[in-house]
Amino acid sequence: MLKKRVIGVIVVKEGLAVQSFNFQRYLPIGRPEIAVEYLNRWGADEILVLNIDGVARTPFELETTVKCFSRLTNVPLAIGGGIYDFESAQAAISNGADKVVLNTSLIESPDLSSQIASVYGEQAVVASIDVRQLAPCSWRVLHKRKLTNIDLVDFLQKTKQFGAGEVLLTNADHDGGRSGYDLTLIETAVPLIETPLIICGGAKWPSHFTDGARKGASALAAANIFNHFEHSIILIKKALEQSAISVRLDSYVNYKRAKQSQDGRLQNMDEFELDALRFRYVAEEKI
Amino acid sequence: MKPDIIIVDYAMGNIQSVRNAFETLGQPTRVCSHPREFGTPNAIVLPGVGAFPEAMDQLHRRELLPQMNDLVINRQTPVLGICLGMQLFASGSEEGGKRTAGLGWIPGEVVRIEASPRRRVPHVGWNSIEFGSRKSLLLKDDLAGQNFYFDHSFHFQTASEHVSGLTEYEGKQFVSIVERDNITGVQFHPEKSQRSGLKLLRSFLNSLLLDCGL
Repeated sequence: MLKKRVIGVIVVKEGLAVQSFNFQRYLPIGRPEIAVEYLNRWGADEILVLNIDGVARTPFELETTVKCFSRLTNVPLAIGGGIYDFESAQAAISNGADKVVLNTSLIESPDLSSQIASVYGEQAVVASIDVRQLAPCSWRVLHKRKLTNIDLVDFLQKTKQFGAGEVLLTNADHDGGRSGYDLTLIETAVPLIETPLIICGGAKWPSHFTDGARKGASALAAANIFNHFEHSIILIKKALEQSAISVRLDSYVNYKRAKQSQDGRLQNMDEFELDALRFRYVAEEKI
Repeated sequence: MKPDIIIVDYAMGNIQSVRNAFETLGQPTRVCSHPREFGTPNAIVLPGVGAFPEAMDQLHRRELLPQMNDLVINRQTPVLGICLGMQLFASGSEEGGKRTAGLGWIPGEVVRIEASPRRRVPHVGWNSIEFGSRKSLLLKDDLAGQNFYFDHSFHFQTASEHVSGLTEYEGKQFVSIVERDNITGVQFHPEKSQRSGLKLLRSFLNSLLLDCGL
């Protein structure tokens, strides 16, 4: 059975991983490669590195950064931002990216995505669409963070021509807002596309992830929560599993018996349990 | 002594991550893009991300086929195909609108996954594997039921005697591991499947050690 994916997003601005609010304000977090390394170790199902500088990236720059990231991951790696031509997509993929994420190019050069898909297959291309909500059940597509006249529903119907294997939808109004995913956006988009949908923007609590999965998103992406909430990935997966949504757990760790405080954080075990742990033998696994 | 493993580089896909995975296991690899560089390796890895017709075209253009056929068919060198690399073992594929002939090492056809509102195509994400009718040399008992990373729109249809691993996706079962003599192919990406993937590559390495008595 196919598992729901929890995707760790790293937003990079001027070489630094940042926290993004509403696509307008940014707080620095640190070096992106460290975020990549940790997400991989914590058990993220996929890692998405998005460069939001809005300038074309040279094959050389992609070669060095992607090579560095790919050394640090054993999970799929998607690279986005600044991929405006076939050469840069090629540089990303041949140096260790499994997918390229196209956003601005979908509007500026609609042929690029099918050109990449014809060589690397549709599964290597993710169409990323940023939107803002104007009225109930009506969203407009953003181009370089600015509102356009393109209606989301019309745009989604075109994604088939793009030949992209997945659609990543981000509601900029929810970005950094901690109020959960835009659930009506998921409900609207899922029947319109035949490919898997990745939803992004606004998730803070594990329950936000379960809501998103229930509405039909194939993958749940988030950025800030993983930087600000300890044990977040495994707690999210625990919550998903408890809601009968199957997830991948790679290690023995599942926190099934762990107690959580009201705000969802892990609580200390009581003394008796800690004492008992001292005598439990867990063999180190060698691969 | 460590086995000599070559990774065939035909400009289709993620060579770097396959190298990284073997490196994690302490196994050096050689990347070969020209038939001259092949030599007589202990094993061949055929990775691949991309479209079937383009991949066959690249293999033809780089004149890699005679050498690969000689090693795999005549010398019985163990070969591991990953994702598209595995699909290339088939007799042919319908990808790209018309039929393209494959390597023909395992009789079978590569066809598109039937889509439905629930069964979205491509099949992307982590899925588990069950044993097929053939006894697997690769999939050890502790790996059955573990999750591996899949990312594909087409699947390999072949006789059950070659199938050693199966995966279920929204009510449809498809082949995830094929094996025939020295030929092994996996539909998923072991190099992207964290610990389960590394364990699987380790059992491939162990089978080589037995094979060539190293």
